[in-house]
Amino acid sequence: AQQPHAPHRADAGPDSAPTTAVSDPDPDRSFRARRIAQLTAWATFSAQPVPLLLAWIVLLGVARAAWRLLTKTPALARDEMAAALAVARRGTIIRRGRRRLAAHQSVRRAVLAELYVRPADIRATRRDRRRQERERVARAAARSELEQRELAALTRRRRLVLVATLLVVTAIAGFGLSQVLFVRTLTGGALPGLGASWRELWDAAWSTWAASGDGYPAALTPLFAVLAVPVAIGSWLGLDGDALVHLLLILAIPLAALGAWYAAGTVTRRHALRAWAACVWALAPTLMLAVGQGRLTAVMVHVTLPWALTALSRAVGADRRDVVLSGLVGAHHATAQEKAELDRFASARMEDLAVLADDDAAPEPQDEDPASMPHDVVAEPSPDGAGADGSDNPDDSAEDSGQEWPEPADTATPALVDVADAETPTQAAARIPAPPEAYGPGSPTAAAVAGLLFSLIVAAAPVTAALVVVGLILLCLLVRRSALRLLLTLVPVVATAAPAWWRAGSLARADGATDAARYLLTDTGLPIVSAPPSTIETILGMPVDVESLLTDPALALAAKVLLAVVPAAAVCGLFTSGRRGHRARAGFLMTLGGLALAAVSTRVITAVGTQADGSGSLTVTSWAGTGISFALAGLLTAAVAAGDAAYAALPAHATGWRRWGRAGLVGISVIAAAVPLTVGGAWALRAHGSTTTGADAAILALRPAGTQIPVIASEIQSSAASGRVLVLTSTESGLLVRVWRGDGAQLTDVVPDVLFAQLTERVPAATHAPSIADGALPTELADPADAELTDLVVRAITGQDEDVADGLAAHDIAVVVLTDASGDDLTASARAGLEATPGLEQLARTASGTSWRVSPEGAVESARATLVAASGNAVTVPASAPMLRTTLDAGTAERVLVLAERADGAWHATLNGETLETVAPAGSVGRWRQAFTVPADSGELVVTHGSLHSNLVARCIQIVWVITALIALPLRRQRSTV
Amino acid sequence: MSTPRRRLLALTARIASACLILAAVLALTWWGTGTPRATGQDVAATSVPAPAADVVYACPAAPNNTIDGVDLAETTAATTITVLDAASTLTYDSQELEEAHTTLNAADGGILAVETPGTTSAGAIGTVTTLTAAGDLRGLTAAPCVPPAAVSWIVGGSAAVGSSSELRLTNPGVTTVTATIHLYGSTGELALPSGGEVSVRAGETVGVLLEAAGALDNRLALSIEADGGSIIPVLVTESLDGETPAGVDTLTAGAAPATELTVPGVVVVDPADQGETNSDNGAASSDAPAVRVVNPGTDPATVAISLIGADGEQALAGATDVTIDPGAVFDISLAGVAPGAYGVRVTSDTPVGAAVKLVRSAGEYPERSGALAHDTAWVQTSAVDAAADSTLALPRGDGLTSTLVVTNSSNASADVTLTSADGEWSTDLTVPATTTLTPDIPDKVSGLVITGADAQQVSAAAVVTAEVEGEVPGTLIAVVPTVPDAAAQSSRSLLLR
Repeated sequence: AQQPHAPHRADAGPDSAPTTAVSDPDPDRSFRARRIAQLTAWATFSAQPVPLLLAWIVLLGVARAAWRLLTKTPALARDEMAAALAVARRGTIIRRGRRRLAAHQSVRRAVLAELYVRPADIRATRRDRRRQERERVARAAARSELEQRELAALTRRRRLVLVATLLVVTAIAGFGLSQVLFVRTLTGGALPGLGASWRELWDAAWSTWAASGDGYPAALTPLFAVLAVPVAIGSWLGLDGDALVHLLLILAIPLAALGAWYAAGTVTRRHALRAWAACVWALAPTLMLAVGQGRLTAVMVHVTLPWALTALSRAVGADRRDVVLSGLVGAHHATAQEKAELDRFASARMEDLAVLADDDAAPEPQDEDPASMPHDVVAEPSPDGAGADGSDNPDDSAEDSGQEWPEPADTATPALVDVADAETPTQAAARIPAPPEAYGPGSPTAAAVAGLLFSLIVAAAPVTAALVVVGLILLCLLVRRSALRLLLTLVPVVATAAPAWWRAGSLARADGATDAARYLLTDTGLPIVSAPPSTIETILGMPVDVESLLTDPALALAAKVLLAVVPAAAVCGLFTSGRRGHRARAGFLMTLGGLALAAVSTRVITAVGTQADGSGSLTVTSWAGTGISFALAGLLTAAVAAGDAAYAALPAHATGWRRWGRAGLVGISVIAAAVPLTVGGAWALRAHGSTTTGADAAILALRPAGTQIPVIASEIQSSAASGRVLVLTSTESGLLVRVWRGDGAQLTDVVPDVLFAQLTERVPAATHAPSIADGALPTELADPADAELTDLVVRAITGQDEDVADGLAAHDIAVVVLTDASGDDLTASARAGLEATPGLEQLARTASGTSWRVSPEGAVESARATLVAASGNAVTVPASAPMLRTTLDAGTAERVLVLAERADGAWHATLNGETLETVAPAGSVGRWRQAFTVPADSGELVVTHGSLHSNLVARCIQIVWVITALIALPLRRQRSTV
Repeated sequence: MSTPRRRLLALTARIASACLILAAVLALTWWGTGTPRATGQDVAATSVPAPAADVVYACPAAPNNTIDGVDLAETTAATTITVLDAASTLTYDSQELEEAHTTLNAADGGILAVETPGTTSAGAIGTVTTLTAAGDLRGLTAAPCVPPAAVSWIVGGSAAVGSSSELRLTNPGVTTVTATIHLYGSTGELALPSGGEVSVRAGETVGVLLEAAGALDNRLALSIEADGGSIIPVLVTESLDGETPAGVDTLTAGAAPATELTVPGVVVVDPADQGETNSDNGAASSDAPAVRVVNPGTDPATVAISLIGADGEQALAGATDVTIDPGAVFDISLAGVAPGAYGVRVTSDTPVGAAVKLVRSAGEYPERSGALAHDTAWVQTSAVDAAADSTLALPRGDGLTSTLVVTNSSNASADVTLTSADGEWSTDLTVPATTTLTPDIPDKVSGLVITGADAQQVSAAAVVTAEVEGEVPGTLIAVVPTVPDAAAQSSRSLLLR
């Protein structure tokens, strides 16, 4: 369509500089008015029908606003929308304008159109102008060749150190995990299976029903959604969820090193310090033990945390940048005295110079009072490098690095300045000041990235939201100028944490704050016990009791002394000045939060679990490692700040006492560098020789996984009936009964909601005040589904009970697997009993055990959802997803839809949109199930779980994530100084 | 404000804030030190009552001369069955028993089924005794009727020349069961024909001669694993020392290998009466009391043996550090032990099985044979808390004397209650720590129900002796072990996860 040129004229107008005395015009401020004018003019001049045109303008406004959001100009996005809406209301004005134009019109529009510039020409002109602008900016920001070469050398050195660090860390990790490097999938410890497809994970994330055993009501689980993204990407590459988890666990240590390297880079630019921080972070006991024990969420938190902190410091402009001293640093116009000196050199004879050499030391040119100099001193920073960095700099804001240091563009033409270089090389070296600290400009993109990364952390461990949110609010208050930007970080974190905290809040109202804390502290993952550390040990970064790993007291003491190096260095950091000191103190605040979290974790029983090797049955505390990761991050920040300050205060070519100080510093650094390597090496040695049983499992419990159920059982699980597998395993203390919906315990079986429900329902004694009385806690079967299942199992293994098959079918159990144990009496008698049970047909004897298929009497198969007719005949309704949607055939009479899930008020079923009545299922077994009366009509049957509120929250989280992700896209990135 | 003052102020603020933060960390540490951490507490399995089912026992038959002896004397046999719950119905060998206490003068063996109308199972006490005063099969056997098991262990027997060990496998179920026998000898595991696999049809009893291993080994131990059901194994040993009768015995299954075992009912008498010393004319017994230990594992076991007597525990001299090769069976002599009633405690670093052989010797027979006629009895280990909720038969009549031997192998005293099978007699017994008692039981009591608290380490056995006259006068011996009470077996421990 042809466009009149008038709107473009309106656009071009404000670009010309105003003639008033305002020094720095901001064209964005008038953007809305200009846009309204432009759109109005366009609509008036156009011949298109007004309503259509206005609708088009609104649509265009939405699209343009989205683009403005993407290009990190939210203010313009707002203006775009506002302008479009304002114009949309101006239909009358536009029509009036058109009538006025028509009144003045004396020739046809086609004639007028010839006078207009063609749109293609307008676009070409604009493109040209944009390109020129870009070139101008690029030219202004270009570095001199000298700087470029310096930077290239710096980059090369940095990459070398990084690669060396990564190689060392990877070698240690590879040696420690050598048993499980090249296997298909992993199992053992706290690691659940992640076999589901990304679609199932995504659905499970936004479902309020935990598909575990007979089902439990649950809060939304954003963690699944977070995991669904890499699983979706992996599925294109042929990697399933389990393979990705394996990849993450074996790469966790190098990834942590990489993250810590970049995070340390925001505090210091010294390669040695960064490498040290990377080693300490990657070879931290909390990460290595979490990897060895398969604690997926703890590993995720530890690996993500440095990246999140890097993004956060970039967001507030607190990230250190490499600075290359321009050739003009230290240069100044020659003073009169210097010029006289030069003249003397030029005119003097050789013998005069020999005399001159004797009194050369006395009149140092630096002694001069700058005020007496005839010319201004150009770019003369404070001579002592440490003092230059802000303690006496009132302008301590995070934003404007350019004001602390002259822009390279200002000094890009050294040849034009009259430089006096009369100093000898040594004098020159002494005079070159240490590079000042340069910081990033702050960035909303980084804030959004930080929001996403912190969301990941909070999704993995909702309790960390307490630390993250409080920390972000504090940061908002302290760095006022970044407060708005930090909302981009805060909002996604709050949204992600909302479901878990909401659930905790309702628990707190119902059962008290202890239960809420218990729920929040529950780790996602198979509950395994660990010896809780003392508070001192948490400060040292140990997530378990040191004595439980090292039985020799002398060794344990040595380990503690080694680990105390980081906290000691961190305490030194507290007393540094300037921005380093601020950083150190902020780090210590984070440490305090992490320590408090770890201290609480070790004092709350969260689940009923096992030893690390899967044996036994005992109560489990929360994993202290998540809190310790936060604490260690804070300590490392302070320690690196201290190291940076120390190296800055004691430069390499220092003289006098500083020289000795420098030597001492290097010595301390060597000792400090030995700490992570020793700790990591010791772990790798023990993990390498681990048997993954007994005490070894605390170091490395991971082992190669095989299929735990027969192939036919997994086929039945994934069929439309989605049958479950009952696994019976003989243990020392009794027969272990587990119900699996997948191949082994899946991630959905070990979410906090399920673990919390199982703890409070089955072992209520554990939730009371910690009883010092010894003796085992009793298991109670208050839950009717649990009680019925145990009764069924006992009857099945006793044999000859005719109702067992129907009872198992009510639990949707399609296959019974008895784990093989040669020479075990319980296993043999259970096998005899199962063989003698009518309705159980032996399927196969595989490596995983003997399996039987359940053939109920009243139905064809065990199914998650069945439609029971009045005659008692049951028909399977396909129901593999948490939400059920299927088309029903018409029946002869009213039927009952029975779900093999616990009854819950939030279940909701409709047939052709009409809500179905809830009913108690008939029969003596399975009265705990959810059932609905279904009329005889045919139509679409939909069964959902959840409320409007939960749906709303799910949509909100998704929208917040999408918006944050759009803002986090690195578009329109301005070229910054490294 | 002047610059130095501002600097001083900044320094003070810096140090103050640092101290504040450090104080907070210290306060947290102090709080953490004072507040106890939560430690993992064991969670017990749920005990779920099993549905009442028929309780089945198999009563062993008399030794049937698998040694092919030619001098066979008359045998007095008795099968005694006592019902524990008057309401239950007993069926023995397909015939319903009318009375609460039945004695049959035969030892043909058979399956004893107890049907209970109520919701809890009730059992019965049954014993089979055979007494042969003379001839090649001279000896006393006494064995209880025992319930089936999927895995059983029997330590004892011999396959040497002059000995015969017949393993009888009874399948009380309704499906065919395949039993796998692992036989261990003095040098390691022995190979049986067809890999030791025996198919036992429903309701039948199959006999396997352990001599079939062809090893001529005089030290045997074996395990039986049933597949597809459960099995009741009985081992019958018959021995001849040349022409001299060397004892018969019927063994029922004992406890599975463990690192801590107790063999109860070890009654040691004067060395001259148990074949340890030669008679005046130099005749010797081919058997002497010994502890037999089998190591079924794959690593060598280091075993220590001690005796728990009336005065406490004492180590068996020379048997505090015995290494047993994998798969091997080892005999450790009990010579030199002072007469008395003991419990033998076997401790090992890897699981081992154990049993004790008791011997009662008579005079030289036949004359100038240089061999002492004798009878042997095997005592199997019992599970450590076997005497809690178990039954014990005390065979009476026909000149039999039964002595109850109770051993407490724990370091705390234990309380048990002994009740007669008919419930008319009862006594509470306190067994001091690591002590063996031989409480007096009235003569009319022929069956005991032993109850006690859980987690006690009490084991018991009845030592049966009979004095015989005639051609070869002397003492005959047999030991009856305890049998788990059916009522105690009726609940299952489940761990729901």
